[in-house]
Amino acid sequence: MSNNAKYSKADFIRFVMSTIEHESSDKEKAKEYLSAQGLNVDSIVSDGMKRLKLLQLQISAEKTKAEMLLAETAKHKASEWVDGLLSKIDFSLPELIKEEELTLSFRNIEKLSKEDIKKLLVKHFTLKFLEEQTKGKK
Amino acid sequence: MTFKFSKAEQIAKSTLDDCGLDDPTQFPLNEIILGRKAFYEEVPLDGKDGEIVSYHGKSIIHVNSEIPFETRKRFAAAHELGHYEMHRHLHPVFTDTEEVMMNWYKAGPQETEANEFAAEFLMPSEVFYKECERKKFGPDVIEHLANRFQVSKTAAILKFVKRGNHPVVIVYCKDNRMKWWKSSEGFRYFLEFERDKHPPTGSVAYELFTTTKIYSGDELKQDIWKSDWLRMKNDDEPDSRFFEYCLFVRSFNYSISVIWEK
Repeated sequence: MSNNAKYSKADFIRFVMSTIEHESSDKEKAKEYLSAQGLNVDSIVSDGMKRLKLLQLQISAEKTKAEMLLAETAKHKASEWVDGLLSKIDFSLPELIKEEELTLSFRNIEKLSKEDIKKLLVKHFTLKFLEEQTKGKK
Repeated sequence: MTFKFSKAEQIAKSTLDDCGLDDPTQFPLNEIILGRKAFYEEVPLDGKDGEIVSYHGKSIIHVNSEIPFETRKRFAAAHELGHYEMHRHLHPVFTDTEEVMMNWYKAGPQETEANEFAAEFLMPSEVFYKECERKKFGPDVIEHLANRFQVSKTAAILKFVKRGNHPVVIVYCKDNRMKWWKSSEGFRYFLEFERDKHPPTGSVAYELFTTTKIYSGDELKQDIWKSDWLRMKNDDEPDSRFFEYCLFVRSFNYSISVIWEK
């Protein structure tokens, strides 16, 4: 650029930026501009949204894994709790199911083995204790 | 191609959309389930393929780690995800056996919904149809679809009846007894079906149940007569040639016959 130039480098950048600002601040104009450049705007937006959703899914999966690690304490507590329940002389599964609102779909209670019942109850109480644990922290 | 979707299929589609996926083979299924905020583990389960226990909207999903085929494990996981997305607030416990997964149309409304969800989630209709397009139907198409979507041939056949590009009728037999059938929209013949009766003696299904015969390769597709499986219009109608591809699962003693016009 010669010393006689009317406009400086800074002026040029200001000019470009103002044009960009003008084009991109108006959604429709930005879309028109990009389409005119041969780009499929809807497809770009849709792909971008998919990537964001997938990233959110990955973050959420990591959070769930961390929560599962935290649930180990609740699981241990639930296991001890269920052992205690099942060893009680007056233990009644139908009453517990009623009390805990545990409806079983498809399979009848009679078809469940003692081990099945124990495993189901441990899962149920793990979730229950985990909720209490989370509420307690709040 | 436009399809009509059931409620369960619509939920499967919106779940995929929420995940940012067009095709679930793009991302590990266990990660998808964890991403949907359900606890997921593969553990040994006695006599069950999958189980879900829920409490106040939180769920633990377990899939049997001892299921010998990854494709079946995958279907069980998607089935439980279906219960999670649709039923976790309605029923706290679902325990699902192989029988539930196979008896699609007989296992009760919520199990049917979970199966419909799983089929649509693992094999999205639009993608599935594209995979079938310009292919002449036969056992190789089923094999291609099963590999492409990482599902069993059984699952691929069941999806093909609903979303495939060629009219077929399928008959499910267990222990050499007919249990249920399903036909594509465009299939214009009547099946001779009586629940719990033997399949017709001229059928491939009957042959496989009653002998040690195994068909493979080019022989998977067998020539049969129309009158073997289908009702003739009247006594004067000349018999015509059809095909039967019978998927026989000896370990569970069930078969699925796919029948189509030559």
